Amino acid sequence: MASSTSVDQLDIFPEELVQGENDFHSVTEMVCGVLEAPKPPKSWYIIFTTAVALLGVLGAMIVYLITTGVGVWGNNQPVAWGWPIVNFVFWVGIGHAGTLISAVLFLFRQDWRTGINRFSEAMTIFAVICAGMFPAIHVGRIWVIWWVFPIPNQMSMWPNFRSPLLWDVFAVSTYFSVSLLFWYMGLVPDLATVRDRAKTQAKKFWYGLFSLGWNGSNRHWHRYERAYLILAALATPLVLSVHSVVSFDFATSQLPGWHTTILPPYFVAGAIFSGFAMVLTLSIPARKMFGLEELITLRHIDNMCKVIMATGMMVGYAYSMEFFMAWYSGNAYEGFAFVNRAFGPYWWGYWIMISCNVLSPQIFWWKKARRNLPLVFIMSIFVNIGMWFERFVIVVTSLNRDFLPSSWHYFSPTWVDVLTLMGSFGLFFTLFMLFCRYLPQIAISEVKNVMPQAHPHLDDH
Amino acid sequence: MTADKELYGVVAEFTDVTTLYRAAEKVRDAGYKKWDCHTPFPVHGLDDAMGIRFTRLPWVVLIMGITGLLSGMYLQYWTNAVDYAFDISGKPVWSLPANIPVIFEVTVLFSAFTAFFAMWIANRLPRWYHPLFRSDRFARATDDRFFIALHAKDKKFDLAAATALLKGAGAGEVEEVYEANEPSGMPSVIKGNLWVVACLMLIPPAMVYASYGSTTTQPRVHLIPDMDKQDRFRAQGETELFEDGRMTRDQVAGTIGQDQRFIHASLETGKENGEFVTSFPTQIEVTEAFIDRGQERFEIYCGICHGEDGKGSGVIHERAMELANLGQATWVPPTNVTVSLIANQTDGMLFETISEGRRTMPGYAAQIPAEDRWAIIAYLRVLQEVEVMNALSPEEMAALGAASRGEILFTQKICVGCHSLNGVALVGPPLNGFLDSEIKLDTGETIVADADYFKESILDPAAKIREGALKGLMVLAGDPLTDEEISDLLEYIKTQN
Repeated sequence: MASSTSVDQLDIFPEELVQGENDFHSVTEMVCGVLEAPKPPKSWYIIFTTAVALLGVLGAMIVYLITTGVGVWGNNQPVAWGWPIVNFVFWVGIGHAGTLISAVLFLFRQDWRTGINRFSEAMTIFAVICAGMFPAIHVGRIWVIWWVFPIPNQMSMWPNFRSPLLWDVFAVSTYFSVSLLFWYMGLVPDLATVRDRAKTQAKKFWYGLFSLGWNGSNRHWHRYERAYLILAALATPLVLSVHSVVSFDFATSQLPGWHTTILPPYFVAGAIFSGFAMVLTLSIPARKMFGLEELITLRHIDNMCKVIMATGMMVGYAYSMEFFMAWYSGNAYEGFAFVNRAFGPYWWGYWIMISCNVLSPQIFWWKKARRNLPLVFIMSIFVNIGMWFERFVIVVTSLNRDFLPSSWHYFSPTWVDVLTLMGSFGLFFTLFMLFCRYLPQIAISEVKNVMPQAHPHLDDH
Repeated sequence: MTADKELYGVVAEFTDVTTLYRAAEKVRDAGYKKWDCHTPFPVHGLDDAMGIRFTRLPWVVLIMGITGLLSGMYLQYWTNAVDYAFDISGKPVWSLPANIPVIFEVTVLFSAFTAFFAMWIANRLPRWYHPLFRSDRFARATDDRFFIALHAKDKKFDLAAATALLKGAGAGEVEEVYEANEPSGMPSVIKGNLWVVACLMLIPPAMVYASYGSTTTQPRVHLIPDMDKQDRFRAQGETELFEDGRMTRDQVAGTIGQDQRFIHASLETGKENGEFVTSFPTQIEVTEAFIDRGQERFEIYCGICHGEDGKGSGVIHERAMELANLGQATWVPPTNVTVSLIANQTDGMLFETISEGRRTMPGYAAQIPAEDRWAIIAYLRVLQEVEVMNALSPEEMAALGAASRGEILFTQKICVGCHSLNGVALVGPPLNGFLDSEIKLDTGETIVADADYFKESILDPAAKIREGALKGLMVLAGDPLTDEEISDLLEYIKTQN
């Protein structure tokens, strides 16, 4: 095991996951210190206030929408799926990194996940909340949204289980529930740590309540670890299924540009891509703000950049393969849809997507770029922008040139569309800032578990 | 602590995992059953050192996962195929592939909830009170210290021996832990708040109960006005919108009733007194713009079959002939509308053809307004005029060979509309190789289709009918052919044999 943290020696030994002179207690101090500090850093207040203000805007927009009708948005025939669905797919895509990091990397025994998994699971849950909001409000009459669930009712009607939109309801709600369980289960031992250090009565009560009386019993740990492994094994196909099902909303329709079999893997790769970008966007400022540089190390950042580069090339491959198939299929409509995508009225959206998603991650071939935090931060924002535009391009360019040229229509968002999207960021960051302040941002027990001191050194082994 | 009576057990503190591991092995080997290790993270191998039996949790999850799978399947089957069958384009009401996504999700949902809740139930959690929490030292069990607790309920338990065992195994401090005398209750603040919440929650059911069975003259309360109450004007009603205060308005000037549609008979039917009109109705003024309009309409509606030049080779015809040549379709070719046979028809007859259709051509009255149908006829006359201008003069015709004259006649007399020359059966038999072939008649007799039979069939198509053919299918439009014309045609057919 390398004892030095010097970058030059990385080629021989992997960097330690916890850097600096740390023992178990100092790790506890570092993570709990964030929520035990009497006041959060000033930057926390700035971000939180802005986020709450935007959340207020979101609330106002939703009230306006519900009291007035979906006509307040730019959606109209033939672009009946405008920004709400773009935003839905954008947020649900971001919500994929958390479970991927927690579950898939766990199954692959990637120990470096421990530094960032709590973080990204929280991000997942908040992103899925933002995502789930959009289909719910875009139905227009939100008070009958319960029709999407199989609830016995006086109309003696049931949902159509063969509709991809219904699959979506099940996929996203299952994903949200399982992610929440997974996240909360990981939190329990750490909440117990916070409880045992709590000084005030209120903290003792609330952390005590949610830590369920956890006492670190090894008999408990035994079942806990087994349950965690089972959840990871269940969440792995689940995370792949969710964005596949989201892609079915498009792929099972007959529309040129949507009706392709490449969509499920392409969507999943894009989701992982955007999710990792959002983890970077959040973790680079957060590790600095809360002094967690020794737990979220450059090695973590480096690894995430590699994932971004790999998935970025996957989506790049998907973009080119879509064009190839449009030509190779000999289908004139498919061909038109794709030429229109790149050179039609929304050409700018397409090329923003290509430059942000395909070109910009290529810089991560260089290790210096992967370890240059300002650069990584900027690139992660580029990827976020590019992935939003990817969904915009898919939804709007296919719809705005439908089969009836007389109804061709240039879609433009309204101010309500714009403020609703901004408001969804308010919701996301409000929840995320509360999480940063009141819950352990790093899985304390899991980080301790990957420290060298955590393993019994037995001579006879 | 002195007031506490019942001993819970002894708890020993360790500072590193290796010593803990060794101590756990010793306690296990000493035969203790009711004891536990408490660590801030799961220590690898400690399960073996303690001798913990492997949990049955995975089996529970498997069983509930299968239950989820069957539930997901049955939920969809019963709701969509039995209770409320969804008939979508006549597809089967139960088609498994489309149901797999939801089955998968329900399976995962059941399994994950089971893994989560069964784990807590098996761990006897949540249990917010525990005697070990009474030890201040034990607070570090979730931080950086490791503990072994031996429970007094164990059959082998003896305070002195247990303490000695733990001390001997390298424990730092060994502490006795006692049960609390009486469990402390819930904090009074929380208790008070819970009472308030409970009382508030009684208000809605109390309101429902109070109004149960009572009557009211007020309309129903609509929390969400779901389009069941709309602001609108009623016919025959009053309004402040118009000066006369009446909601019902007069008809717009020029409105006609449905039964008044055919007041301009010849414009709408192409007939006057039951006879086809021979000129355009008086309402129609034939101008250049009108003919242009006709050209545009002709190219939109007629050109697709009849060809934009009217010669019968539109894109549909081309495609249908490709399929007919492959034997994949039967086809009635569209007529060449520039030939003299059509040019000689009256305007009214052409109008009727466009309006009501002819042979396999459907009527276009529903798609094309009457004025536009007349415009099409105007443009059609132009096409026919061009054909006349391009036609050969009698001298030029005479100078041609008989077979070449026959070829022109084959088109002009629309033989080509039913007979192919490449062996493909259209409406009538193909004429290449027809001459001098043996054909079977519907009388059962077999004859040779010689020149006489050919001539007889042209002049009187019903005289001899081939087996399987329809009597009266072949008709001759326009003037009967002369002997010369027939012999020219015969010469042409001969060249195609």
